[in-house]
Amino acid sequence: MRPHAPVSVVFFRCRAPVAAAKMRAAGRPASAGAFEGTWERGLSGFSSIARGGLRGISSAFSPASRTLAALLVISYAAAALALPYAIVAPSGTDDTNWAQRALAPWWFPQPRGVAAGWEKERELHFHDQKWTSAYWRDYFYAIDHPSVTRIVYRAALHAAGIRELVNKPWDGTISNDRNEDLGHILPYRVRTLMRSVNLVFFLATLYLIFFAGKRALGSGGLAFLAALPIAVEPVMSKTQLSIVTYIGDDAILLFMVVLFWFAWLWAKDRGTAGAVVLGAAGGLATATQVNGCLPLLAAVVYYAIYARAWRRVALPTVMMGTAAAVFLALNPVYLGGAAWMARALRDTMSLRTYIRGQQPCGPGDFTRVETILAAVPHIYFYLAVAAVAFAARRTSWFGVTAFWSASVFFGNLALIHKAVPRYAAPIRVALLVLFMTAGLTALGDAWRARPARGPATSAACREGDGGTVREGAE
Amino acid sequence: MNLASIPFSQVLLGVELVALLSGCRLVLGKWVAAALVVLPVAALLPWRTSVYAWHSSAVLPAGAAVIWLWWLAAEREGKIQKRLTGVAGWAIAAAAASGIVQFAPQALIVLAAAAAYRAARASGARRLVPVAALFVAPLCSKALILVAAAAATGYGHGASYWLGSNFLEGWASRSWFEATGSYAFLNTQAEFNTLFWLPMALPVAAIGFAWRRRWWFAPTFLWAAVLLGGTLALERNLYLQFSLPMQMALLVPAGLIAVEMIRECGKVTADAAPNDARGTPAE
Repeated sequence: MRPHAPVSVVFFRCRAPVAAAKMRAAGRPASAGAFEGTWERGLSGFSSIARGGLRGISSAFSPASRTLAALLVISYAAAALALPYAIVAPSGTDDTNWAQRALAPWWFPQPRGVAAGWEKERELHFHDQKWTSAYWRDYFYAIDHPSVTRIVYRAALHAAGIRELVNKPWDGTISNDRNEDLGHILPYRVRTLMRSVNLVFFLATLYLIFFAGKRALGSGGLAFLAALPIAVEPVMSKTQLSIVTYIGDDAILLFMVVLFWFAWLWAKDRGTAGAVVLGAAGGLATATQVNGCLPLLAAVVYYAIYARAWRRVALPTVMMGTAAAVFLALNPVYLGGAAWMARALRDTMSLRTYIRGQQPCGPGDFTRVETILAAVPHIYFYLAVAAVAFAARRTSWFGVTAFWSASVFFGNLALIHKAVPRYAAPIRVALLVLFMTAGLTALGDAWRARPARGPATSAACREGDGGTVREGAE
Repeated sequence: MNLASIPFSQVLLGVELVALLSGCRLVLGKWVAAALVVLPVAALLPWRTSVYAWHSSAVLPAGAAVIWLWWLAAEREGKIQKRLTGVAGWAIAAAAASGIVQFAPQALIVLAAAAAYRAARASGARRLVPVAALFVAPLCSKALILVAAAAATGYGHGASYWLGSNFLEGWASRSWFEATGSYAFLNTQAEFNTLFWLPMALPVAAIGFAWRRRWWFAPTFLWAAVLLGGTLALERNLYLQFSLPMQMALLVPAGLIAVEMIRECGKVTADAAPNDARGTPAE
């Protein structure tokens, strides 16, 4: 086959002979047209649905058709909710900063070295963020946020022909109205493009959840039910600070975190190769946002506990080594010798601490409890989560999913300091993925066991031990 | 401590919690398990509020919780059931139901469901007993008082006033909760936490169907369905956080199902566990 052959050519060269052989085996002429009998098959499919109800669907459509239909419905639900906000929401305070950040070179092409007076000038630039040279601008951007989001946005902006912005960044020292008067907002075309990138990553996240759920649950229908609530979650799309509308690294971080879960389900029993894949996924997540390292740390603990013999040490080591290599490859600002790396890491930490200190607790006087309850009110259903998780504890996917979910849930809950939707998104996804997967496993088991009588016949129904079976009329 | 300084709404919240706790104890057989179920309800109640709440906020949940407790006690086979379903028992039930409806007219919907259920489970002329005790008696007593009040005050359209001001309100009460949290927090709840419970409630309800033959299942889920349906039908703001009936309707059945599920799964041996055996990495 010649390289870059069109899909249709690939199909007819590879699949057409197979299809012809199948038709011959079925006693039909191999020369029959590709669409011959489609109408009859369609009618037969609908009649089987009419006869068999839900079961008829599985016999009427191929697995690929059902998967495609599920993905289309998920995509439609997510896009229908997200697009109106992505299109009409005004520019936010961080939008221009992120666009400028994306267009600046992420690989930090400046020389590594510390000149006299470096510390003093660094403090000056970090605090007022008004750059007097490309050096300080590039350095600030490089250590402020890891680079994956910048790389993605940069690629999208360059593909659209946008290589520089004339708009000045948002100035936090003046009012919002004054910023808008001075034109410190992102042009409509640019912000819509960047929000579209967020939407693409959000859709990809949903597809990953669907396929991971399909792998875990063994059913496309149940996987669809697991992914759909996340598609319509309001923290994804409903406000200006949702992950699709807000221009920042939250949508890509969510994708990377879910990618890690997907990779973990695949790599669980694959030894060193699996550890390398997990390390790469963990490195990508960490290179998107620092708290993306949480599932990687959970995987290290998981393998240290459950692996056997020398693998307890070797697999986590391989994983961490791969993750570090990926992170450094994507963030070359930290390369330049041990002293430079230590300085850059210290600057990263001090900058994040400074920015965190500049931010209030939230839009209002949120207490810590209020912040947590606003982010994840689902904890009122803690018994239901515990019950379905307990019921699913012996399934093959549970250990991996529970470690992943717990790390993302509790780690981000400990870090969250503002009750904004984009911070709540990974926390909710971690909880909902575990709950929906475990709950739908129990539901599938209950459905398969439905001919049998329910737990009413168990010993727990005796009077004095929880009650009695209801029988007869009074 | 001056007991007279405690708002009466807090007393009603206490009544609601005690009734819920007792009902859960009746179902689960353990006080600890019952407390675990009631804990989220207690955490959601606006204990810190200083706002005076009467018809619109506290009476319906307290009345509904007491009705549920009676319903469970009348359903569970034993000595208590015999006493509750005797002549004296029904007379007391009619008096109590009338008393509840005087303060919480919305509870008439819950009483109607309980009466219909008990009537469907009875046979012959006995079907009339629960209907008379749980629905007709409270309705007549309330109507009599309304007529008397209208006659005494010359307030002829009192019935429609009562219907609009008392019966349709109180299923959610955001203003009552506004004294317990910051304004920004309340806005956040309304902004992106309105229907957060929906994806959690549906699987639990579907799983809970497996427990449909338990004696407590029908009263509990019917009671919860009436409260949830009433809130959905009569209230525009569907906030779990601001609606005590909705909190009871969702959290209590979900908690009961969860505890039963944990108990059931705890009994299951590894051979009978769902799906395959636990996976171990890198074998």
